[in-house]
Amino acid sequence: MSNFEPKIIAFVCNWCTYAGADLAGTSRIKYAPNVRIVRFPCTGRIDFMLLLKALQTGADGIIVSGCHPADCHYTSGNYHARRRWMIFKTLLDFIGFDTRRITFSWVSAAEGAKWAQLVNETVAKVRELGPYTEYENLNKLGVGSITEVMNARTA
Amino acid sequence: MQELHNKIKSMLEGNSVALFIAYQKNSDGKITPTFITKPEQIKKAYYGDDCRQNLAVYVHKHEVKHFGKVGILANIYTLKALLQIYAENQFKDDYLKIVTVNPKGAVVEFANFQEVENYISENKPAPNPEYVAQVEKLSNLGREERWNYWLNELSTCIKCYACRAACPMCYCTKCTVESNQPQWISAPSHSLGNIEWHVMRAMHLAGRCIECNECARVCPMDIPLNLLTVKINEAIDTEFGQEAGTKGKLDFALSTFKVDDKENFIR
Amino acid sequence: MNYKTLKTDKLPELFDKIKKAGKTVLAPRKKGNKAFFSTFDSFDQITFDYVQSALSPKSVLFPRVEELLTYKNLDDSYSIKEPELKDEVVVFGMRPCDGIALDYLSDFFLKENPDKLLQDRKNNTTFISLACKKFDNDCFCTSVGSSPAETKGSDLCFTDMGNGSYYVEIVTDKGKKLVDAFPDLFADSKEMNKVEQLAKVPVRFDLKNITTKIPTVFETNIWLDQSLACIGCGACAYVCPTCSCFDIQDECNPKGGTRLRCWDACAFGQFTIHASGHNPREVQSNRWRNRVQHKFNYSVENLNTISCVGCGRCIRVCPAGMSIIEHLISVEEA
Repeated sequence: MSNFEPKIIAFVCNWCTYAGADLAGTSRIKYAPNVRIVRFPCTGRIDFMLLLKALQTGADGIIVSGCHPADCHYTSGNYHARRRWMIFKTLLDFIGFDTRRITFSWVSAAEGAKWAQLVNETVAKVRELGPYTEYENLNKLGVGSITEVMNARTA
Repeated sequence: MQELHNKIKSMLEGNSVALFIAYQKNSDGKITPTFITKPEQIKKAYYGDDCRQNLAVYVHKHEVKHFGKVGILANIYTLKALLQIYAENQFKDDYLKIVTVNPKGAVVEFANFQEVENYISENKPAPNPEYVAQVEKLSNLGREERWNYWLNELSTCIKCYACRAACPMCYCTKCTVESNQPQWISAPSHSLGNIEWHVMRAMHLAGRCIECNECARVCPMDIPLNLLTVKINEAIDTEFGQEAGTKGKLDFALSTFKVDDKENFIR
Repeated sequence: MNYKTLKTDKLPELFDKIKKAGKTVLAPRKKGNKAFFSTFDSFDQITFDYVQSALSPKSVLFPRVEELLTYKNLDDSYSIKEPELKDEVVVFGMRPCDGIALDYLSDFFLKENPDKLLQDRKNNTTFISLACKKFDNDCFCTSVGSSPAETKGSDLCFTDMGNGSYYVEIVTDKGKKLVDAFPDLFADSKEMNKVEQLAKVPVRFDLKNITTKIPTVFETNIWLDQSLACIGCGACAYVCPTCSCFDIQDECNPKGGTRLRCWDACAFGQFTIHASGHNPREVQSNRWRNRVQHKFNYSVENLNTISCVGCGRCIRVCPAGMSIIEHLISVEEA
């Protein structure tokens, strides 16, 4: 699909990555407009279910980004987030979600250029992967089904 | 069995417990939990390797707590569960009197949770090779095959929450799925609701699951739910060196961290 | 009643012909060692090696999640669409006890305020029961007024006579319509004695004693004793062919949304929580008491029938091995 424009949701922390994105803007650095930024006080606040909610409502790719380790505005939020993502990524990989579409990073308030590069690379990667439809319409699958076991494996 | 009956008798008659939770086996071989409050019920108590239900799930129950002092017959998984629940501060030291039957067949009563911790470290159950093999087989499939497998399995879920009810670590009086202003986890059993539920539950159990495999045993649709937490536990053990149900003080992977935790996917 | 026979080796052809006529056929298939009603591609996927299916055929009339309506937000207004249920379905292999349950469920949903969805599904579904040749310790149909010889609630009743053919009892007009559509497969028959072919399920308790006693023991301690083992899942309610409680969930976004109906269970802790925060059935023993009282007391008051058919599914599925048979006997002895 040559005119597919991916929708990317970015969950970022207010003190580092959001400021970094702001810096990219004030420095007039051009980068792909596909990203929609959701601002959190800290990556430690980002609930793992939010990523799935984003995928379900039409996101084709996700960025999660915050302060570098040792630089968290709240001292340790990003350490907890790091552990959470290590475990969540293991679970998502195991269930078979396409985790190539989820990019985790540390972007500081001074790294405007890194933010722009990150977004550009993520958008290019997701554009190549195509729209993520596997998860989007699962709220229709099974509705009104008169059997529970649709593809029963024989004994 | 006689030694066990004598132990329960002495606990009931000595008033150290008002209720003793054990197993019973009826004439057609079915094993169920039994709640002993009177001496004449003691002879029903049974223990064997075929006792699979994790009785730790009952220590959270309001009606059980109401008895004040409760005795419980624990296999190794129940012991791990009780230790983890104790580490999570869910009950006071004097609530439970825990009894087990050790591998030599002797009845052991634990004086405190330090003894439980020591016993567990000396009698660690080996990971079940069948589940390890299933996890490995799934991990080696391609991503799409794995997705199709789990989508098929999880789509059969009817949201009965037997997995939650049977799990000793799921004790929230208001589960996240019952949080409905707004409805955070989709409640109906379409595929989305099922996947959201099982992903959320696996994450809430990360580092807390003691791998009793009750969730898979009780599932009416025979979904191998235990594989999700077995996989997560493998990762937690490898990356952080922490294991649920081994310490009387909370050492929970998701609420602790090391400054030098290493991962290979954060840019 | 009309009677027919069908050679057992003609059953695959019957299913093929029904499918060719555009209908969906559901029959029991095994997943692990449990039987579930399912579609199938070939006849050899069907199992006959089961006492009772794990889930009941109520899903055909009352699915675990179904759409009530969808709506779209338009520029100045909105549009609402209700589902049109046109699929014709034939269900094969339910047991005679399930027929009684389907009748109960239909009464429950259709008598006072007819539920259009269930009515449409019922109009489009033909139920063929397969009489039981074996039973297990969890079956107790004969204790609650039914038996493997029951025909009420089925459209057609098949009994394997052990001689290479099924004895077919045509119970309803809908059943007759199906049989008349395939005259080359069904042969006329006179009434046969099928009872010898059927399982002999022993009676476990006196139902009259129980329904008389049960209102009087509401405030006793037997409910606490019985329910200590209950862990509060919804498995018994979900597998039960007469349980009908449901929840309504709206799943919407700014563009539109859908209203869904899904199964619910009185065993869940939050089932009776009020908007004020008060919960009249706060402990499991009250919730358990409600379940048994509903099936053997309240439904008698409201619909003149008990709402248990003795299928035993709740006993087989219970994670804690609770048995309603034992509990009813303990009520009788209280």
